[in-house]
Amino acid sequence: MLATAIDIESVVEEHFCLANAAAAVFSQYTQRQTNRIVRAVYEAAFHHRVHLARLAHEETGMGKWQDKVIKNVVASQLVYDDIKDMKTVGVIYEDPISGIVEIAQPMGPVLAIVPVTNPTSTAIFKILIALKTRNPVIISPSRKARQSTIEAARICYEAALDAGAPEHCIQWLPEGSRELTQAAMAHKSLALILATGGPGLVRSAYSSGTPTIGVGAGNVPVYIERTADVPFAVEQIMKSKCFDNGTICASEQAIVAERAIADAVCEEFCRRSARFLSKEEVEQLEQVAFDPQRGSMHPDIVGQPAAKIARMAGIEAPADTQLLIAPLGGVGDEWPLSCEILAPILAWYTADDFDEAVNLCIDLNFHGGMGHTASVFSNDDGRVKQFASLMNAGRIVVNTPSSQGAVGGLYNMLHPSLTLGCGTGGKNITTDNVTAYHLMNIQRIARRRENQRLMKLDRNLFYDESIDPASFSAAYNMNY
Amino acid sequence: MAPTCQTSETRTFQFEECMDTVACERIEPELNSLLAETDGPVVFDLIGVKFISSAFLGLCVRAYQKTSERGFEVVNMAPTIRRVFKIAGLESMLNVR
Repeated sequence: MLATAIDIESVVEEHFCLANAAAAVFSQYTQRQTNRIVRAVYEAAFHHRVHLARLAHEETGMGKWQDKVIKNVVASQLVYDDIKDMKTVGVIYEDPISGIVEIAQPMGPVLAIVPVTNPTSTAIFKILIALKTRNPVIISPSRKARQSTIEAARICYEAALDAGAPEHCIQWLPEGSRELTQAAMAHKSLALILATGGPGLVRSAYSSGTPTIGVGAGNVPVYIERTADVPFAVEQIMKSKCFDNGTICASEQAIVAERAIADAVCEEFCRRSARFLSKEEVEQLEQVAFDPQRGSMHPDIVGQPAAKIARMAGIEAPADTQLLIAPLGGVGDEWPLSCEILAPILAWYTADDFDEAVNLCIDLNFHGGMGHTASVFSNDDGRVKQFASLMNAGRIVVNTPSSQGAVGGLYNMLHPSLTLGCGTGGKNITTDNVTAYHLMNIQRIARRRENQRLMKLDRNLFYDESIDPASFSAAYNMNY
Repeated sequence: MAPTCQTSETRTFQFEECMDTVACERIEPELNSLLAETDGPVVFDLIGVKFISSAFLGLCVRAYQKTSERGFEVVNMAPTIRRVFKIAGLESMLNVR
């Protein structure tokens, strides 16, 4: 462990010294050389997907290794497929009519903060998009997932070097300490922080003064509208919420079912080994699932199986219980289970009609999940669009398992990503699924293309204070 | 490494078009011997160099450490190579001109 501030400073300084050299050398690489490196890294990551998934599961004790394999496939195969043909070096766009030419430049060293919930997949994803854009990357592992994160980075680095990448194009901080990460975030040579983690960490990244692409917390409401195919909807929700024991931030957090179909939804959930809790059991669950000191989910239940959480809460539940469903009377601080909980636990609400259901979803959306993701099951396109326009969410997934749908590439054509922008609602700069496109500085050559309307305009009109906007506009557009 | 020229005071070294890791490993022993024989200032002339690797940056830094007291500079490079020194933050230390 690094004992002193001097140790931290020297470690960070050394990493950035090497990262700067890597950035400098990388700036000379062609698209072809870059693509070769990215392909090699993808192949290595894909090859080690099971090993890395098992390692992450053993180290963190969270989720299911089988699902972590799928996450590693998304981060390697799907991300690679998505970015492999993207132009990221030199001229990437040219329009002779407008006279605009776009040139991609690397940004410089990127600090990739990797969360405990998706350690190896997030590391692979961030490494691929950084290398594709010729940026060296420094991985900052979570304290609880240090070994698996660094192993993923090491595998990628060796493959990159074999494919001719600059030395030190991938580095990692030796430990997952807050002090070390903060020192790295504030380093003058750092170009960008890719901050995936809790709200505290993301806030800290923004405060560092370094440009940051952060993510927001999720609190995904799922609206099951009356036209939904109930068995299908429930099957999809179970598949999503139980995936890796609910560790994906885009996983469903609360079900809002219209009363007309609520009983059918309940029955379907029960048929699929979900357990609806009584009022007393909800209170018991709150004790273990919510940490009042932190004001958020309790870390001990993150990514744990439903049956284990039930035992922790003293709730009797069959060993094959897949999901715990807590009927709640409202949304907000007085209903702790209405916040984001990355475990197989869902809040449950019923609503008389569309308006009441959407109001509940808005409350859930604004209770810690602004800008992230919302989900709807419906066969009424008008209702879907109405619902979407009322949510503050970067992604509104339709008739789709939310965990897998929001990350893109599996159930829709969103960019596959392990970093989901949440817009200004989540205090982020973008609502996009973050990808290689976000890691380039795009320069624009602007060739002369005169604005003829302005050129022929009587210049005296600019200074004539009596002219109103309509008259000016008419003169500006005359004969156009 | 291309033939070098030596005036009474300054020794100039020229390099290959592609100074990748392999090229650097190949020339460094000879470069070190020549640097050891040289008393005066040292100039790395990068005319014609089109690619430099991290290894070449390291080689420059080590050469600078050996010769900085008598003067060391890197000259005559194409803009693409100058930018590499600039991004690496080595322009000032290595007297890149």
